[in-house]
Amino acid sequence: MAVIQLNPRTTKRIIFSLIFLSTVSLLTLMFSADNPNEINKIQFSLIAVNAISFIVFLFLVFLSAKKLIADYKQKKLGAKLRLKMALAFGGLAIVPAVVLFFFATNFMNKGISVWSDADIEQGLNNALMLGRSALDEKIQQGLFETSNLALGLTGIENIDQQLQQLVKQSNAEQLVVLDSELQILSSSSDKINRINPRMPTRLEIEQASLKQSWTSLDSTPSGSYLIRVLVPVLSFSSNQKPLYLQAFFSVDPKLSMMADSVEETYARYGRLSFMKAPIQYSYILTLAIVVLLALLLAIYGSIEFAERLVKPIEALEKQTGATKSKTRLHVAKDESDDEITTLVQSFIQAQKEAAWSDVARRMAHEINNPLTPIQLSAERIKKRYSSIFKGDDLEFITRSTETIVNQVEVLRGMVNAFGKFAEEPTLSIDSFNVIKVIKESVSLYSKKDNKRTFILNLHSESFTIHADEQKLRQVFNNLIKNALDATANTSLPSINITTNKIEVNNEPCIKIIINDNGKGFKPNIVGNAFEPYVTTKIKGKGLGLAIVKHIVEEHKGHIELHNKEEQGASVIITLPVFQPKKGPTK
Amino acid sequence: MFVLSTTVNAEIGKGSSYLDAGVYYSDIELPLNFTQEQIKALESGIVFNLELRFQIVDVRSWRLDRTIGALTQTYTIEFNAFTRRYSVTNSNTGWQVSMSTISEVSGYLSKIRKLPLVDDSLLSLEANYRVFLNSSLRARGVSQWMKTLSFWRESLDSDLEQIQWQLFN
Repeated sequence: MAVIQLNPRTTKRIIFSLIFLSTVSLLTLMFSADNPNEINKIQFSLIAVNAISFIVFLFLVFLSAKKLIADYKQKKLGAKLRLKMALAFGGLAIVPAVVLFFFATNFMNKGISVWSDADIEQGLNNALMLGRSALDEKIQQGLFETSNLALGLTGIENIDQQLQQLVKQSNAEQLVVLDSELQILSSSSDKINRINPRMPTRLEIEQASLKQSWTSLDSTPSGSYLIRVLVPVLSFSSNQKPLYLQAFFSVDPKLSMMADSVEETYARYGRLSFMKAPIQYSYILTLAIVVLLALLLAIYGSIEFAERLVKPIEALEKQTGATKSKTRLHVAKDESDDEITTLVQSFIQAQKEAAWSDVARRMAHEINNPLTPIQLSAERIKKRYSSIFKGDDLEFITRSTETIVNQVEVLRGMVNAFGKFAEEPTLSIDSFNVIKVIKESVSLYSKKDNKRTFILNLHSESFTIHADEQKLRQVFNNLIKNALDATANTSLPSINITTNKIEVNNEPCIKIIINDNGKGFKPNIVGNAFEPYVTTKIKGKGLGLAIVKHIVEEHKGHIELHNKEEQGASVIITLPVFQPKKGPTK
Repeated sequence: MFVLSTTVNAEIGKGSSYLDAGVYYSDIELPLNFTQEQIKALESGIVFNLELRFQIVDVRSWRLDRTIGALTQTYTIEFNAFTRRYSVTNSNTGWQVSMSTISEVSGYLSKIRKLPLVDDSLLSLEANYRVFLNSSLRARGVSQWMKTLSFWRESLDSDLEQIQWQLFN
């Protein structure tokens, strides 16, 4: 079966793109939500974007969950913990999201229900009735006037002139005489083209014939209102067809405007009420998509987070395997910098140091024992044969025995160094002026080498700390010697020592920085320069910095080193001013 | 003066054409009935459009038919709660009528008279022209999304049966 594996960087890009798209579309949706009918024009496309995000997230979650379950079934180290953590985090995300969804839906429904509140509807109906009542009197006046006008018509012969005369004399805007077949016989208006002659319907003609009048209130496209009155003309007819007089009366513009406003509000309310349910569904659907997207993101995040959290433990397992196979111990620094990674790194470091201490102790013991007999034997050979051999033979014997003795001395030095590294941490704590000790170390090396420039930026002339003076002296000597070696080929060598009083976790500390402008550490050394046997010096044992770190950590201090940006290296030591009052510590 | 006149019954509706002063006019009878949901929507303030889409097609033997002209007439139907009347406006001409009942509206729109279709000078007497009329009633201002979410109720939109007739014999 084909296994789909996505590049983590690609996955990350997809996720961020989707989050961005979804956020933008949801914000657009949120900020354009003034008119529910209007927003729905863009809602479909916005929801489509989120639906696509949802499908992609679902796919990613599916892939992650599948991998997790596969790892769990294969009983891979950390898979059980990952599964538990993913379930726990996922569960923690689901519960509040679901609760929030139901509460939000409930509040939203209640909010929307307010639109169609019965009181509001009644209020709007009353407003409409009030408006109509205000116009009823006008309609009655119009009816009375039109009836009188119809009575004033004398015949069909000069109907045009009669209408023109009547329009001028009356309040009517327009007068139309038409027959029962809706044929206009004459029309007159005091404002030409202001209104199109609006024809009555057959039903209205029938009503006018039956009830002797027909009145209505008509709206115009411009939002104004007109009173329309239709009455039969009783005094004459045309071709045996009954005639009717239709009159239009305008409504006061102010009243028209108010009526239009009430009508528009009523219509708006009606539209919202009618579309209430789909609008509710639309909001619920949007909210559901948001919640589901957030949930999927949370589930995906919990699976990934659990994997990242457990990764250092897997690394530890791999490293343990690596130790067994004598491979170098290493935890990739760029993978993570959380507490678990630090813990694992410390654990591996402690494992390595313990191993090295053990090796150093055995080497010191095993190598030291035969050194004295070798040296003594070489000296005895030299003494015994120097009187027997002459010339080249004597020179050969002398050179060979001296080489043996010298190399034995080198070996002894190495054994001593190993011995010191393997020493149990025993400190002889006392109060002393650490500035003085630094100055003495500087003085020791500046006398030996006057080509170097030592720059001291000491924060005080005297600063008393509680520590093992001899061991700290060893630390400073070691570091200054390293700085001297590093600047051996520098044109203007300088070593800068700075001290500062600082506080770490409310504890008074001294910070000592030793900078040089030498060649710096090689990039492959910087990360593990404190490990035993790591050196770039031809004659170096690789134990100096390991011992320095040992001593600093015995004092509950901290040491770090790095290359400077411009040139050279920098070693920073932080030491607490006070040590636990136990006397010699172990 | 009527020179040529034809009337063809469609499945339900009916259409006919006649020539008057160089212009072909049509009289149409539409099977327009508003559904209860549409009436309710109208009374709730939703505006409807009745769209009549005419196509005059030259029906040719052994060759693809050719559309020689198309015309759309739109009527807007709305209810005014203040006047309690329905108004029907022809969007092409601006002509407006108002009615007090929906059945009046239905009756008014079901019988459309003297609708100008095409100028006689554009036509050839040898050709066989047919008029196709597709009509639809659509709720205006209500998005398709909202209509989809109103799935539980009768659709607000409706399409009328196509009517077709011979322009002239």
